[in-house]
Amino acid sequence: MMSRFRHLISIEELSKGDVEYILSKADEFEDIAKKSFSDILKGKLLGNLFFEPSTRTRMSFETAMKRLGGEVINLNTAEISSIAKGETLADTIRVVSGYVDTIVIRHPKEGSAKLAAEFSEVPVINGGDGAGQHPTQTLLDLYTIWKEGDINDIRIALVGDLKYSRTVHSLIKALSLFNAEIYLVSPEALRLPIQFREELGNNVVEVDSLEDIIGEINVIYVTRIQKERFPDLDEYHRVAGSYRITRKMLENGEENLIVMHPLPRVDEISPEVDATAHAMYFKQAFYGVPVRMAILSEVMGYG
Amino acid sequence: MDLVIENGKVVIPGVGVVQANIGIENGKIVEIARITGNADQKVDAGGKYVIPGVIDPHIHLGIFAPFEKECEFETKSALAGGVTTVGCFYGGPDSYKEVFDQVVKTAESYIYTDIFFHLVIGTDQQIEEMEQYARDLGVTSFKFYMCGIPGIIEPVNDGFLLKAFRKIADMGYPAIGCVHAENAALVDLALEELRKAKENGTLEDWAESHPNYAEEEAVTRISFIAGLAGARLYVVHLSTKEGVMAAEMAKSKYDNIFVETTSPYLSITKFDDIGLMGLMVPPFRENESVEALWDCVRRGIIDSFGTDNVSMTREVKNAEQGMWNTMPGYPFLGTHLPVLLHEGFHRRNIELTALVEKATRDPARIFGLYPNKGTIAVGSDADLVIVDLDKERKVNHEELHSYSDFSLLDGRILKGWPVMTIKSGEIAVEDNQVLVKKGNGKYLRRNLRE
Repeated sequence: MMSRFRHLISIEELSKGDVEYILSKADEFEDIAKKSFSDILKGKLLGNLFFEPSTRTRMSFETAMKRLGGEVINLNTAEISSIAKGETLADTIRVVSGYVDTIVIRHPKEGSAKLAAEFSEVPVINGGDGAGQHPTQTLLDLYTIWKEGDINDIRIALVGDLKYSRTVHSLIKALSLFNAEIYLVSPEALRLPIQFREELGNNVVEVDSLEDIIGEINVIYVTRIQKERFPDLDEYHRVAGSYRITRKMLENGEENLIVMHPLPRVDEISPEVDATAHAMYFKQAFYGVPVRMAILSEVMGYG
Repeated sequence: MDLVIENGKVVIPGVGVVQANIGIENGKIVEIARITGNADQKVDAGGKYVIPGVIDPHIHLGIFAPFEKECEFETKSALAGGVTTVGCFYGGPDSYKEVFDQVVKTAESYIYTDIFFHLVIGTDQQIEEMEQYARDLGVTSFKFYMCGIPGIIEPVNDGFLLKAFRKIADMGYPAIGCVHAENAALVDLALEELRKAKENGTLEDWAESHPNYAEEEAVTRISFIAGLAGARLYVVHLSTKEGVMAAEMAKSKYDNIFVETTSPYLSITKFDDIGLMGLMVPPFRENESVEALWDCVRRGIIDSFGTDNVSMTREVKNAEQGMWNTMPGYPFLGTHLPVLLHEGFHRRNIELTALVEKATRDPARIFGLYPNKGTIAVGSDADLVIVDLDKERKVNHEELHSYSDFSLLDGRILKGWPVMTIKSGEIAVEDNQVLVKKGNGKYLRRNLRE
């Protein structure tokens, strides 16, 4: 079978049809993502190249590969620093792509995944490159929305750090394929960069507070507001506190309103929300497995 | 749980072969896991393959024997052969609004499998009523004959087809037009010439009556018409190399074209030693077409397998009276799955999961039955077949549960047979013994997506 795409570097490379295809593939894999194993990637080897730590992304790729019957080799940061002493990324990729059937790369520098794809003999999946792209996160976000409701014409509020969050930036691009109405809720200093707002045109509205629109929306997507973005700690606590999702706040939302978060969370979402039906972030994290199963099977030609 | 199937290699469409137990409760699959909980009943699959119940989307009931009799015997044959859902073509010149409830009621009293219907559309009134058939009767697939069968079915013209396909496009998923694609005028000419040339012909001669090019042209034309209307198209029973090549071209041009061939066309040629018992429309073809069909299965051009099961007795077939007096059709449901396994998996190395997908998930998706039917997933109907890929059995029509007194495959040894059929969570067939009663199946109503 032919693959729809060889590498997965950025979400923009995918058509709406590709995205829908991956979502429906993931749905097929979901039942076995937790309790069983398939054999379709038996005899295949995945190389996890993580140039910066990311426990969830690495583990969920590893789980996905093993659930499909394949094997995984991990090169962690310590190993990479020793094998790559003086070696360029291009050379590392050339060498590793001789060992494995597919590479997942995570790298602090934007553009690394694209570079890797140029030098790799095997498919490359971007597991996050710096401020650049994290397409598998975007696909699992879309899958969560798709599974828990209707992805078409949704009304979604993006809350928190909209300036630096690459998760939000990728998600916005992908949501525009599905005619989403997007509300932006963020501190002044962390507003969505102007180029993204322009791309979205009329389908995006900046609002001052989540409470104003809570009754209108289907999804709240929360991101972490990081301490490092603020000059002093007091300012950080003041801002972070005012964007915190509480149980009380959700009482005014629709019954099937869902709350998402790419995790890890610090205190953007109050723990009391966890027990409500609105809390979708742990399920969202689990959905990373079937979605990555779909991506792995696709790039290795078993779609 | 009511039932657990243990120790099977579970073939899940799109997912591959999974080592897992399947837990069933209230007729539905509730768990797929390495370790399952307690159950009232356990089945040890003994390391054999477990596949979703097969869907044969293309059968006919009640053509040469009473409808209720064929409902009973043909779906019993189907169930024993691992087919748990059938798609039945139903036609007539009048409106279906008044009669359909009775058809469903009769079917539900006699069938062993689940059933859905495709309604034949041949009159302007029927075109006008298509949407009501979808909304009120739960029928979202419609059948059109570009080429008729003299004395039985009248063909429709291109204007009629465009008009109908526009209606189908308006209805949206899962509405679809199923088309018998042959050029009627070219077939008429071929028949006329053959009549002059052969007072009495052979099975090989009969192939001339519906030439390969008549299928090729019609596939191209109906794809164009469906594309023009923007409607979903299902081309039934392709039989020729020329036909599937035209379908491949059409698929590269238009979305939403789906292609069916039949297990008989994948296993029998016009040179086989079956005489005029093999007379059919379209006819059996040369070896090259059979191999081209398999090649298109392998390459994903063919989406679905039917049987075009039209049962009858030898007496009704009337083959002794010569080619011009022989009735088209044969029973095939009982051998559908074994033929796919023998000819596809064993003889042509078609990957098992890919073969199973086209026998289950793909027709389920095409006709709007997925994911209740056509897969093994939590929440799906527990229709499952345990298959022994190594089991060899010589075909004997007496063991196929049909009322018919022949099988085109009588005496052939096929490798790969179902050893157990589970229907709606119940063991329905074990070692070819049917354990459930008639009326076990239900009508599958389908709905348009709003």
